[in-house]
Parts: sequence; C-alpha cells; structure tokens
Amino acid sequence: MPIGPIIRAMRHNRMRFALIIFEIALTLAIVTNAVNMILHERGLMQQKSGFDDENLIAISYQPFGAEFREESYTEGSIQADMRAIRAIPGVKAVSVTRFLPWQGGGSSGTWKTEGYGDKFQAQLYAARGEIFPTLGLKVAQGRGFVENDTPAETNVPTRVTIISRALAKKLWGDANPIGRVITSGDGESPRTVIGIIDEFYNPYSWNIGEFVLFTPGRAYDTGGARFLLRTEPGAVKSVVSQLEPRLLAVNPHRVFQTQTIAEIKDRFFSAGTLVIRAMTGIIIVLVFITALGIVGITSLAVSERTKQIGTRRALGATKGDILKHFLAENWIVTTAGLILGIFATYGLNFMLVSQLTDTKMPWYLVVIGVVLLWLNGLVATIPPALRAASVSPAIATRSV
Amino acid sequence: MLLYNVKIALKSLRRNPVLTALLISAIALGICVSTTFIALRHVFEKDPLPGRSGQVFNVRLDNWDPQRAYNAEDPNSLPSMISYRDMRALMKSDIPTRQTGTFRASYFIHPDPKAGRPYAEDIRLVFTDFFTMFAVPFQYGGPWDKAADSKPEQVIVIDHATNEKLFGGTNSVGKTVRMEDRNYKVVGVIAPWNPPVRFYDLTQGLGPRVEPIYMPFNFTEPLEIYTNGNSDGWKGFDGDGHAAYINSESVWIQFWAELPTPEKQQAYREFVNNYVRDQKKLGRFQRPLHTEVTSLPDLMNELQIVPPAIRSLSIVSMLFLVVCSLNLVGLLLGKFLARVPEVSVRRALGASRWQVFWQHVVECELVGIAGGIIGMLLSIGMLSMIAKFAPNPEVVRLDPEMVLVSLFLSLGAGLLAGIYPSWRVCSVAPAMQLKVQ
Amino acid sequence: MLEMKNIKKIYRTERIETHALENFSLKVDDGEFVSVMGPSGSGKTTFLNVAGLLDTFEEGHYILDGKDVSRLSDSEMSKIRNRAIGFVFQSFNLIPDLNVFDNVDVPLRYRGLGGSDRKQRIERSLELVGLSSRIKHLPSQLSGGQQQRVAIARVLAGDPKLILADEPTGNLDSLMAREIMDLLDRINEQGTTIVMVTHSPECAVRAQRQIHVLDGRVVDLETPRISLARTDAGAGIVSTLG
Repeated sequence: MPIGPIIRAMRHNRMRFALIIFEIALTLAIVTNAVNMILHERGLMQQKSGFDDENLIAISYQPFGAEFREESYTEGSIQADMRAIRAIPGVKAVSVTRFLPWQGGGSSGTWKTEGYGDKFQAQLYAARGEIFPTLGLKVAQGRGFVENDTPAETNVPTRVTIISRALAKKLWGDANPIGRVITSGDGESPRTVIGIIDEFYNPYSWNIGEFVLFTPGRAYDTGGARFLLRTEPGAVKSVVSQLEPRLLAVNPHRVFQTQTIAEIKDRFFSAGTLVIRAMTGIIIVLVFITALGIVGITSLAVSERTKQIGTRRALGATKGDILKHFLAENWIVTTAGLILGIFATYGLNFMLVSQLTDTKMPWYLVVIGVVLLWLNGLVATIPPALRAASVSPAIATRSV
Repeated sequence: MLLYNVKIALKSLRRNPVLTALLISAIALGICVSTTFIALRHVFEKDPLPGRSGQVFNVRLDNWDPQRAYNAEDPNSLPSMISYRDMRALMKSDIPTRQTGTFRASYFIHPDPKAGRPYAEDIRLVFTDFFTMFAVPFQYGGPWDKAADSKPEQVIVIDHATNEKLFGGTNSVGKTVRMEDRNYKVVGVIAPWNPPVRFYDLTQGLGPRVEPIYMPFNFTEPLEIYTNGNSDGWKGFDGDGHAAYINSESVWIQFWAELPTPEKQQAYREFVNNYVRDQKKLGRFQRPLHTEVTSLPDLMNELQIVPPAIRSLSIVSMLFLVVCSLNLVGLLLGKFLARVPEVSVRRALGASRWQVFWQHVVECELVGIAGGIIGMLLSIGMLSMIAKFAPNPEVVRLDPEMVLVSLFLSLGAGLLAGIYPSWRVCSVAPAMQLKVQ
Repeated sequence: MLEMKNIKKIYRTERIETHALENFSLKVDDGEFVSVMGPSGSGKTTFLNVAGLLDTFEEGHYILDGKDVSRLSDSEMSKIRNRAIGFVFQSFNLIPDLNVFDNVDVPLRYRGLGGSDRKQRIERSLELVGLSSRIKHLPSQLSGGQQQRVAIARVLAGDPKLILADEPTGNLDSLMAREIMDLLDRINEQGTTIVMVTHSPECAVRAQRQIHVLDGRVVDLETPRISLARTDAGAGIVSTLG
C-alpha cells in the first residue's frame, strides 16, 4: 500500500481524522485506566483473610439487666451462652472475641521484642474459647491455647500469645519464633510466643493487616460481649435464625446484633464493587461508542468520496485496492490515535494517582489496550470500507 | 429569530428520526454517566455548612509516644482526636465564639414497656454549642442552655425518628425518656437531618449516620461513660477504671472551635501552642511541638473523606462525555454536509453566514437538551442503584444544583459536538451549489 | 481494436426497466479517432461505460483488442481498465486531495509498477502535456484546461492502447477546448485509438469518423433508416425504428 500519497491526501481532511485520533486517544486513556482501577480493586478484594469467611457469624449483646453488673454473673452467663450456641445444629466452633474480620480496623498496640531493634505495631485480640477452630485457622507451629492459659483473675495479664507467620518473619526472619517474648512498648506485660498461625489478614488503616497477636483472655466485660462462631458449610442461615431465641432463653435482659462475616465483607468492599461495576460498564459502552464513531466517520468519508472512488475504480483499482485504501487510512489514524493515547493514558494515570494511591499504570496494560483498540478500529472500518469497495466505477462518468 | 431557528431545527430533526435518536442517545449516555458520578462526588464533597464551614476548626495535638509517631510510617502524623484532659484545658479558652468536645457512646433506652423492648442506641455527648455550630435543624424546642451544660442537667435532644418511635411524632419537648437508670427531659427535637457525611466526627471516613440522641457532655465523668467510637492510646493508665481512662494520654474526643475571624484564628493557634508549651514543662508532649487547628473543609480534604475511587470515577466519567461528544461531531458533520444544497438555497435567499451557523448550533443544542434530560432521568435511576452501596442511601440523589450542572453539561456537549459541523456548513458558498443544481 | 456485437444493456430499478443499449453494434479499428454523438439520454454514456468496462451488459459480445471481454470478473475488468484503457472525463475526475504528481501516479500504483519507473512515466507524461512545473499543485489550484491536461497526462502515463474520452471539452471554454483537442490529435497520431463522446460538432469533426447514437443504437446518418416522429401531443420522442 502506498502510504505516502494516503497521508498527503489525508491532510485535506485534517479535522475529520483529528476527531478519530482524539477519540481513540481518549478511549485508550480511559479504558486502560479503568482496567487498572478494576485490577487494583480486585486485587484488594481477592486478598484472602485466611478464615472461613463464608461460614462465620458474629453476634454481640449489650445487657440492660442489673444482674450483668456482677462480674461473676457475666462470667457464668458467657459460659452458658457458649453452651447454648454450641447446641445449635450446624455450629462447628464458637469463641468470644472482640476480633471481627473485615470490619476495616480493630485494636492494635505498640510492642517490643528482643532481636528486633525498633518497636513495632501489631493488632492485638484477646479471645476465649476455640478462636482458631472458629476462624478456620490451624496452629501451624507450637500449640494452641488451653484453658489454664487464661488467668483466673480479671486484672492479671495473660502470659502467652499466638502470632501470625508474617509477624514472626518480620521480627525474627526464619529463626524459630516459639519461646520468644514480646512485651508492650514500655517493656511491660511480657508474653511468650507459644504458637504460629500461617494465615491472617485483617484490613487496617495502618500497614499492619498481616501482623497479629492473639492472647487468651477475657474478651468481654460487664458491658457486653461478642461471639464469633463458625457453622457447617451452608448452615449460616438456619443458625442465624436460632441464635437470638436461644440466647434470649439464657437471659432476656439484653439486646443483640447479628451479622454474618460475608455481609461485613460485602460492606467493606462496597466502594470497590461499585468501582468495578461502574468501570466495567464504562469500558464496554466506550469501546462500542468509539467503534460506532469510527464507522460513522468512515461512512461519511466514503459517501463524500463516492466520485473519487469511482474514478479510482475506472483507473483500474480493484475492489481489494479500495478496501485496502480505507483500511490503510484507518490504520494510520488509529496508530496516530493510539500513540497520542499512550501519552494521554499516562497523563490521566498521573491525575488519578494523585487521587488514589498505588495504582501506577503497568506497561503491559497499555500494550494490551493498544492491541485491542487497534483491532477494534480495524473491525469498525470494515463495513464502510466494504461499502466503498462496492462503488461502481461507472460513477466516474456521471457528472456530479 | 430563535423561535424560528428552533422550528426549523425540529423539522430537520424529524426528517431523519433514526439519526436523531442516535444523536440524542449518544448525549444521553454521556450525560447519564457524567452526571451520575459528578453528583455522587458532589454528595460527599459539598460544603456541609454552606458559608460557615471555613470558620469551624478542628483541633489536634501531638501528645503521642516520644519514640514513635502516631502513624509509625509518617513522622509528621498526629492523632486524629485529643485526650479528655486536653479537651478540658482547651475549653478554658474564651477565644472561640463556640466550642465543643464530642464523642459517641452507646446507651440503653427504656421506652414505655407498652411501646416496646429496651434497645441500645448510639448517643452523642456534646456541649450545647454543638447544635448552633453545626447548624442542627430543630423541629421542636432547641438546644439546652449553658447552665445545663455545666451542671449537668438531665436533658436530651432527640432526632426526628426517635421522636416518631417514642412519642408518635408529637411535640415531645418537656416529656422524659428513660435511659439506663435515669430520666432525661427532652428539650429539643431535631427535624429530619441526614448529612451525607457525619462531618463533626470524621474518624470513620464517611461515617455512619448522625446519632439519634444527644446529651450533655459533662455526664461523661459522673456516669463513667466510655466512648463507643475509636480510642487510640500509647501509654498505660495510672490506676484503674474510668478515672484513669479520662486522665490518660488516650485520644478519643473530637474537638471543635468556631473562630469567625482571622485574628481569632491566629490568637487561638497561639493559645493552643502555648498550652502545649506549658504542658511540656510538666513532662507531657515530649514530641516536637505539633498542633493543628484545621478548618472543616481542609480536614475533609486531608482525611480523604470522599473515597478516592469516587473522585477518579468522576474524572473518568467527564472524559467519557467528551468521547460521546466527539462521536457526535462525526455524525453531525455527515448530517449537515448532506444538507449543503438546502443551505446553499437559504444562503442564496439571503441568509447570512451567521444565521446559518446559529441555525445549526440551535439544532445541536436541541439535541443536547433532549439528550441531557433523558440522561438526567437515567442518572436518577443509576444513583438509586448506587445508593445501595452507600452507608446512607437516601442522600445519594440529584440535588437542584446538580440538575443545573447536568443541564449545563448537556449544553456544553451539544456545543462541543456542533460547533465544527455548523461552521463547516455555514462556510459553504451559495453560488457553487446552485450552479450544479 | 474494439468490436461490439448486438449489445443490450438494461437499467433496472424496482419498477422500471430502461433499455439503455439495444442491439448496439460498433467496430473501431486500431489507430482510429472516432467521435460518438447523440442527444442526452441516447445511450452515449452507457456505451462509454460498457466500452470502458466500467459496467457490465446483459446480452451481446464485446471484443477488445482481439479478446472477448464480455463476461469478466470485477478484478479482471479492473486490470484491463488499468492497463489497456485510458479515460478522459468531462469533469476531469482528478482526486481533489492529491497533488498533480500523485494524481498521475494513481493508475500506475494500481498497476504495481516500481518507484523509478513510475516517476519516469509521470514526469514524461506531464512534460508531454506541458505541466512539468505544476507537480506539487493541487487540482483546485489549476485552471480547468490545466486540470484536463493533468487527466490526459494520467492517461498517457499508463500508455494505453485505447483512450475513451467523455466530453473532454464540455467544461472548458473554446480556447482551452482547442488546446485539448490538439493534444488528443497528437496522441492519436502516435497510434493510440481514441473514442470520444461529445455533443460538440466542432470537436466531433476533428475525429476521422463520426458515429451517431440514438435510443441505444448506432445510426448511420448518411443513409438514414429511421425517422423521427413527433407526436401531436408533444409527449416526447417516439422512435420508429425498423
């Protein structure tokens, strides 16, 4: 295909080609950035907690009955509540803890340990009962909690802790973490590491999502408590419906709030879900619209140049030559648009990165975007180009 | 003339209904998407206290661990709230025209047993300045008086929904509500009030809804009320119980001061810094002097209250509208150029170049307005779908301001799409075309 | 060079069939300069389209340069147009977006010639028509006569055996028209066959032979076998062909 004359001829329709170039450039910029945002959000959503999220339920109560002000009563009722929960068919394990997966926060503290120079920050949760079986975690190294790990008296701090593998790695690398001692930031309340859990992730505003210390302890007070329980697969619904009645039977002087972890997770990711859906919609519509735009403008070019096409045919151009002419023209425009689009992509990315963090544009997305839009342009040119090719050469002898 | 233009334009649009539908739907699509996401952003970004938000200031002090910043990764970070004792000290200043410390707690409401079971409710502890400072709208009654603040008196302000629930929506001022083991007298009922952002407590992003019940702050000590919101600490407590908690370095109170003039703002910043300097002499505040007195809009910006994804969506959706408009340029160009013979006749009959130009611009704007209206209706539907994702669904909607913006965008899109084709068609010479005919 | 036997060409629209050529027969010898005359609607243009392989026909035979070209595929026809036939149109049909050089280049490109060959042909043919100095001009920057000379250069560059000219002077004033006719004469003297459709008697007499077309047929005016009858109502021309 003779590119030189095509480009020289295109200069006379600058505006029209400029339109397609801008459209393609903007489309590339939008599509790549939208895909980038989708991938970013999906990356966050696909982060595994390590827990059996789908089969977890949290139920908390707040008491208003005066009897709950007695610590001994609360203690007894917690035990009774746990028994009642365990008795519900489909319940696999239950624990009392302030830890609530996927709520986007929790409790944390500043800690110190030998072998790690700086103080460090990690999440801290006290738990009672079968916290790891409840979450669906295995204690991969060392041992789990046993009943007398929990001090009998309220004010005595616990002496042991089970931490996440990520935290152990951060603190001591590959050395054996079992038996090491972690203290609070000011060097008090030492806790010995007795076990390691392999997986743990709970999103936190600070970068400590994978760092956790679990301690055995009273994760409740006279103001109420929260039970976390795990059901057999598929039993969540039936268990939820039985929880409140059973616990009310233990003591009615309190109010409950029940949530499934799946719901909490959905809520946590609602903005991400919105972004993914909106961006997907925008991409689909946009690619379609750009294709329509190319069809429209190329059709216009064809109908405006009917006479010219006829002349070319009269001068010996085959249908294939005409088809090739329009495809070549489109190829030039698309390529120009995509080159401009690469700049636009990074420009828009720069703008969006100033709003969002961590969404630098990976080069391979741009490459994929360029290839797909290039094909999109090609496909969109074919119908009008075919129409051009079917122009009769006899048009040439007609006067206007 | 405009009317005549509109008439001709309508005729022209009716001549090719398929093309017209295509043009209108392209604009409608662009407007729907852009309006939806701009409105969504606007919902969360709009000034919660129009005209006054710049005078309302949040106070933060860096009382954190000498060895570690609040956010260990950012040495310049400071806690987002202040401690109880610092709040007490700051309240002594008479520079602010209004000021309040505030936090959220959870309390039990015991309705008349006939009306229902006891229930737990979020309550907010505030000083009476809170209501005027944050322009809380009242349906009945009003804020309690200053005397009720200092004593404190057993008075509360309840919201519209609570008033419906407990008193059937009647004027309940003077009636009492039983909370835990005390009776509180209702002094004010808030009119339906649903700000999209819980702007007086930005510690939880967009935040949940505003609280249903408000009681005097000074009950915190006598009733030993703990916060139900965030509480961050770095230092152990001296002693046990509530007294130790409120005397600790733990931060859990949002503190606000109204400072209407630059002089007051300057003086107040000075006052806050001097307070910290004095405290340093007592051994507290061992980190470098760092206080922030931040206006409400600045704070909302700093804390990225509007989810960044929503800002990004609004930017992308505007570009989407531009692409839709660019598409129209091609279609309109085709439509207008096909009309060159007709235009040349009009030109021959004495229509000026400008008249022809405006004639076509009017046609594009009609398309813009029609598409804009359809797009706006669609975006109302989109917003109601999106609302399901928001913590506060009923605030996600098109307000009058956004309707205007949307109309303006449609006119802009129509103009952007139409100006070049109109110029092309008006620059056709009349004679040339007549000769050919 | 060119022989047409009993060609029939019908234009069909949804309802109407128009017989554009009916039993059309014509023979043109090598090196001849023939003019074809006839009123509007007589079938001149259809004849030209068929002769130039721009259009197909229903019945009859067409022998071009000794080869039967009656039933060829579209791309075979394109190839013959490109190599054997040169067109000169009334409205010049230069491509407005291309400059003079690129316009002359168009058929050579389709012929797939090499760059230096093309350049040589283009320069030589532009020299022949006296437009060597206007290579970079766009058609819109040239006068009508110059444009037609570019169109003729485009023909010459392809070195065709047959030139089909469709009212080549129709859009030109008489001075320019004479220039163009002189040019065609010179080309014909080199041995190229020219068939020229025209209304203009002045042009027609420059040809060696005049052919008259009426109602889709060739008529011999020297020995008229037809008569034109005008109906009393004046509804139109009715042919009473025998």
